[in-house]
Amino acid sequence: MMKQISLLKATRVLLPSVLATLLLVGPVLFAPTPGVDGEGVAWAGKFDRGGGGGGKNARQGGGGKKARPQKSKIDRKPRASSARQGSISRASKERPAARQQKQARPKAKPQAKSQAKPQARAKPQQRASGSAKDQPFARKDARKPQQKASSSKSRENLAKRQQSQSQRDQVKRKQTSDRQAKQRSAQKTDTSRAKATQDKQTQRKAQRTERDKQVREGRQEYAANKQDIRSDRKKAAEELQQNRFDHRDEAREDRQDHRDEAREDRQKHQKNLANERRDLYEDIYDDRRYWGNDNYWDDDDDGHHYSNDDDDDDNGWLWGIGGAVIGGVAGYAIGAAVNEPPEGTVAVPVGDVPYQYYGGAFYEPAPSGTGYVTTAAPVGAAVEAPPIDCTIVFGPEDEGYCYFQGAFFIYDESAAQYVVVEPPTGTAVTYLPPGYEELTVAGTQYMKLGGTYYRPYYEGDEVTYVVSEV
Amino acid sequence: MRDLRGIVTAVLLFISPVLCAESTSPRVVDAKADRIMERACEQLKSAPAFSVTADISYDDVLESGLKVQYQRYSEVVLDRPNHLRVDGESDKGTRTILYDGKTFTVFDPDENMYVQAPAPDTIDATLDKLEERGVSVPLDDLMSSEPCAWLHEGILDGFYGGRHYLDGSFAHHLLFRAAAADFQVWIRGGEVPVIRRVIIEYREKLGVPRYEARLSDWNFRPAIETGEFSFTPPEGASRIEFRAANNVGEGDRP
Repeated sequence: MMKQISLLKATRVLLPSVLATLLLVGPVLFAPTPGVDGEGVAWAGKFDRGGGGGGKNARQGGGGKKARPQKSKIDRKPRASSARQGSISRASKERPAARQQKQARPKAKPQAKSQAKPQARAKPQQRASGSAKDQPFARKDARKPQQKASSSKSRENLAKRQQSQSQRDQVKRKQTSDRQAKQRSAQKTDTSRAKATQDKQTQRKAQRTERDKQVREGRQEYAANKQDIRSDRKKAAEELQQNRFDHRDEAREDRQDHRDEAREDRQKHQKNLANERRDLYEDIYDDRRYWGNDNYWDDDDDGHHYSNDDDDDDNGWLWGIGGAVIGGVAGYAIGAAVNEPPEGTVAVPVGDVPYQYYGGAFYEPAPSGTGYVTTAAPVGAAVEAPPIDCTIVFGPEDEGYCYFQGAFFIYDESAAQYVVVEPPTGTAVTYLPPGYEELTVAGTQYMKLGGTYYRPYYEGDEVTYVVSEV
Repeated sequence: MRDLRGIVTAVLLFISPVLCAESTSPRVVDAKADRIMERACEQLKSAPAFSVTADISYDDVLESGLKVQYQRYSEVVLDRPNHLRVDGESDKGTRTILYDGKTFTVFDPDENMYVQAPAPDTIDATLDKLEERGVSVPLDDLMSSEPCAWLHEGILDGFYGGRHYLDGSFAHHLLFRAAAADFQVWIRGGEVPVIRRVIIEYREKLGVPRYEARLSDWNFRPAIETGEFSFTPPEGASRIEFRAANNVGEGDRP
């Protein structure tokens, strides 16, 4: 019982989730498989026909050779352009590299060592002049012993001698005194001299100190100035370098801009050209639809209604060979007879001939007077739209043609019509419709289609046929 | 003397950034990618002969902007120094390119037409001449004497992507970038390293078309038959000329 309740609860909870999931994934599960059913195939078929893919379709005029394949070069072509464009990338990478380099440049050299020499050592103070040994001798002399007196007579003599001695002493003392005076005077002179010398030395020392100071200051100032000069020079060099970097960067940016602009212009030009051509094709396609030929492309699996269409053949155009007319433009074979042109043909009179035109095919009244026969595009015929499968080719004067099965249509702007013209000499086409005749003229091979000679050439590894005069 | 020193210093100050800039290479290829690619190229360079088949696909960008992918199958036989044969079949027809050391021939069996011209005496120079003539030889750089020249000349950066699955086994996956195109190369390692797959994406071209080649059946001792590189015109074949470059034809317009 409990199990049943739990199951019921679980069902109640899970059921909405399951339903929601089914709602979400249902459209995906039941969606038709793309590419398997008719729709996918039909789209692919339209693409093959309308896009002018290439290969065999290209030779049916599908335009597959309008754009050349990219060549298989790893190094050559990219390098040829990349060597030039590579410099763009290098340039864009060189800029940060240059900045790094700028940053990585050695910083300002360390401050120059002080050019000031160490202060000259002050000379040792001169010794005080006048040492003990230079003292005057006066005291030495003053300590001399007195001489003793003798008898009376000898006292007189002694007295005399004493007197004489006294006189001599006096003289001697005087002499001594004079000598001492002289010595004192001399000593005094020596002291003053020493003092003067000392003063002079002190003065000289002061002068030297002052001069040293001045020299030192001068050197320091010079060093500072030198540093300043160096800094100024360095700064100027850096500014110069920065200017060069800036200039180079600007020039690089200018070049880059110029290249970008040029590339954009090229791309724009290519896009414009592509748009014009797409417009042309769309116009043609619209015209076909307008002419009621819309069902034409869906009539067959491969969309081709050529009389000998075996999927490997290029087309059913048979120049100068009568054949059965199957219907529509695809069954068009030069010289083929039909009771009447397909529905939707347009009258395109050329001269006296009332041609009928239908999707690239021309019909003229049969010589028998009954029905029509198919014919090559008559020169001078003007139609509102050329065949949709035409290939754009360029003549020697760069004029563009719509080439279709040997016929060249050129747009007449004033009349807003496409006019069939004579095959322009020098124009290359990538295919010829069957029915041409191979012949050799003066050792050169030609293909003759109608009255036109085509000379085969190799262009790259593809054979092209150039309208030639023989 | 001081003036001279000053001038020299100024000149050095001027040119040093330029010198340093020149020496600063923007190429950044990691060592492993470089080594693996070089090994594969060395194998090609050192081989006196080889054969390989290439399944190629490439894009055409139509003027409408639509992109169309074409297929091409090529068999290459190379015998150094001056013999080469490339048989190709593609959406745009069948081609055989032959080089026997003296002449090269481009033969279109569908049209039964061929063109023949004197050729230089080396494969490299002949490939250049074919290129000048607009003849496309698939992956011709693999046939040159310097298969890895591009690695050192146009590559901006490259790196090793790892060992990735390719056709039932794993291969080294290398990625390179040039100014105008990106490359992916798969190389099977081992004693005989070979290039198995190449993708070139022309990112500077309108629509960024892509070229892809799968290389298989590498044989560095191919059995070369007599006359493999010489051309004998089939019955009824017509010899025609290259069209002069100044004659502009269909498809040569942007």
